[in-house]
Amino acid sequence: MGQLEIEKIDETTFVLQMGPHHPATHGVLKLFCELEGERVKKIVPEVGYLHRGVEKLAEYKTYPAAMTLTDRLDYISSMSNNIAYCLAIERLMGIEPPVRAKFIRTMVAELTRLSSHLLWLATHALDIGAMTVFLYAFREREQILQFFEKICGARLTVSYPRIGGVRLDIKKNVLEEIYEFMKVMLKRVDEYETLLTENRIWIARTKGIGVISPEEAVSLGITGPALRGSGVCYDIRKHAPYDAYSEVDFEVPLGQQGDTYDRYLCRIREMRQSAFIVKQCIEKMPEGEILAEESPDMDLTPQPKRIIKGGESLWSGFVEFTDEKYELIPKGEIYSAVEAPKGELGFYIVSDGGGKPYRMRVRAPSFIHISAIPKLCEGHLLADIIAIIGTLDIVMGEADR
Amino acid sequence: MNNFIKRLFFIDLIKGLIITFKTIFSTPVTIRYPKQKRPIEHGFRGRHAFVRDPESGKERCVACTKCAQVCPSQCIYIDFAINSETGARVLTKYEIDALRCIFCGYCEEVCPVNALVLTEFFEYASYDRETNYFNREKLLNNWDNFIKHHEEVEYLNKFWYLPGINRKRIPSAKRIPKPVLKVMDKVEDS
Amino acid sequence: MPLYTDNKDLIAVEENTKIIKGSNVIITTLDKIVNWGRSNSLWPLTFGLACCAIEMMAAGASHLDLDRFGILFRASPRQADVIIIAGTVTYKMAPIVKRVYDQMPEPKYVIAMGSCACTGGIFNTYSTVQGADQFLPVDVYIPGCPPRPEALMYGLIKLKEKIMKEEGRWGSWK
Repeated sequence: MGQLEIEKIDETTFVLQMGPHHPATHGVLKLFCELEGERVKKIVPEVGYLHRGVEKLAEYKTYPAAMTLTDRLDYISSMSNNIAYCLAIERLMGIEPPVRAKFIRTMVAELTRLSSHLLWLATHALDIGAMTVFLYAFREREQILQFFEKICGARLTVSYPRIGGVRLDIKKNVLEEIYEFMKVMLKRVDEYETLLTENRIWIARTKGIGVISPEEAVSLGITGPALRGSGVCYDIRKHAPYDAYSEVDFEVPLGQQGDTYDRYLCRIREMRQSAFIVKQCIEKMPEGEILAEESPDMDLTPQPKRIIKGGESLWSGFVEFTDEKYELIPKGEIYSAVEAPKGELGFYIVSDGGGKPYRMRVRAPSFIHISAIPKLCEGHLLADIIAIIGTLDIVMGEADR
Repeated sequence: MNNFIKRLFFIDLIKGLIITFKTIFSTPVTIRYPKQKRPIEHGFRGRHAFVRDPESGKERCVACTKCAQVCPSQCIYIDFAINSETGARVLTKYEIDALRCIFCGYCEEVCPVNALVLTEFFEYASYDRETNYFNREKLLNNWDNFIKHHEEVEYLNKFWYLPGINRKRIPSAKRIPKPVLKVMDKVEDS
Repeated sequence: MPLYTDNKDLIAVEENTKIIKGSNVIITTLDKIVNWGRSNSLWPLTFGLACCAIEMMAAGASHLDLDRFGILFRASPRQADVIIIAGTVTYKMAPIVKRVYDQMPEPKYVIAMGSCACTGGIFNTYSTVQGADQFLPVDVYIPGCPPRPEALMYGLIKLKEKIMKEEGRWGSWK
């Protein structure tokens, strides 16, 4: 890909390879930038530096074990990934988690959204040059991770939800702590806004950078806050509610211009909405069980039930058996999507009736957002590429899988 | 006009600087790690250990191999022999490659006798791979090291009893598990 | 206090470290003083590959301030002493990691952070290098998926201890 670019260039342009080791490319993304002076003429992203074969690997793991792989897709918001995966299999099996589990899931998903947006804000601001926000945002993020540790015993790769519910119950005092923290969180978001929203340097670096019109955004397949920054109201939480989103009130913040500044505002407002949703979930959370009756066991093994054909041949030790007629997960295929912090995260799962997924395909928002980089960067200065990569909120673990 | 005045007098920057200035008077959040440690939450998934049964002084494992079956990263290696008299399984080899483990906690969750535990100990970086390749003796040692520094007398892991889940779903030994009692040092007692 | 005294008693403070009584002079080996300086200004490279990089950032942020140990993240390999392999190394990425490592000046150290960097972890696939020690000399292995920021700090302290034990690594004329 890179060599092709070099062949085509004339004497007025200059090819710069950004990445894969670059502190501001959010992981291992490589960009071939064709520059004319300092203006970007053309950009070609190269992905695949973190391709770990997750989709293929999932075909060799049982359904509960494959969930741990989804943790490591978008490692900043592992809870959302787990929920998306579990939801897909629940829909395939036709089971419904108990109400308490639904509320817990909604709550942790929103906490994840908060922590993901905080990390985005921290790194985005650091790339553009605001060091203070980085330290402040990590202060709050650390507390959210502390809650995750209290809930399930891990900070990043949680593996908390299960097919048909969640793994552990949350104690009442932890819920109260989270509720108290959400009040603090709203004040903190105001603080970030005071630091950035009116700041002249911030405005100069973000306003009018990476403008994308609603039509283009839709045709490129952009989802999530990046799409809503352009003014398109598309939010799966609102339009196809899953878990307990139909029972909580929240608004979908929209932008107007579709530039980096609008996307920043959108995410900031979304953080406030997330805090509201967490509060509502804690208020409305009923008592009860957290795992559905029909949910498959943890030690769901790929061994099919052995139906002995030749009844008399047991003595010899060579038992004839058949694998048919025993379905752990019903046959079929399903696509189910959730609103992850980055955008629409979908899982397409094909089941052949066994204990392992026949095929697992991940519709990762980051991968699709990377395809929008050439469009967004055209005609901008080299320094603005950093702002544009930051505003799309790319995680390479998810893009390369 | 209003905007112009704001820009002229650097109101936007001053507002931000006030916030950073205020932070001087707030208590710092920094933890001075080697001297001062953050309390680890109960149920944190850290170093592996075999529970040393206070009664028999050995591990509880019955070699059912369930942990090896559910392990997503396949880092548990078990071998067992069958006692010809009783027909019971006898554990001959139990190894965990801690550097390959992903600390999901599935193994301690499925263990029917609560033999395996991921302790709340995380400071075990090593200079070589072999140190963190745990065999049976090392796993039991890990438990001894962990329970020595455990503050409470009883120890019950979160993943052993799974609150909020219908008890019928759980194997009978795990429905109401007994907490492991800390064995006090016998030298101190006498 | 006079700089020079007749009383030349040497008081051993630590192993290989002595104080001349009554003056402000410490006598020690060159090894020790070089190692002391080196271990207190470990500059790691800002090099994140996957999940562990987030915990590495958390270790450098406000709650667990790595600057307290004299550890400052440098963006350029030319200024770095330590490379923290934080995440999965794929076959596509391995030559780049190798090149970045080669660009670092001597003495250089490698920390493998997390299961993926240590052994490949859960990703036992066609595209993943099964451990960073297949192409780099790893000094410290930190288990965990990802390790807590404290665990990373413990690993860095372990590396410090290792550096303090080194002998004769302070010049080309040794």
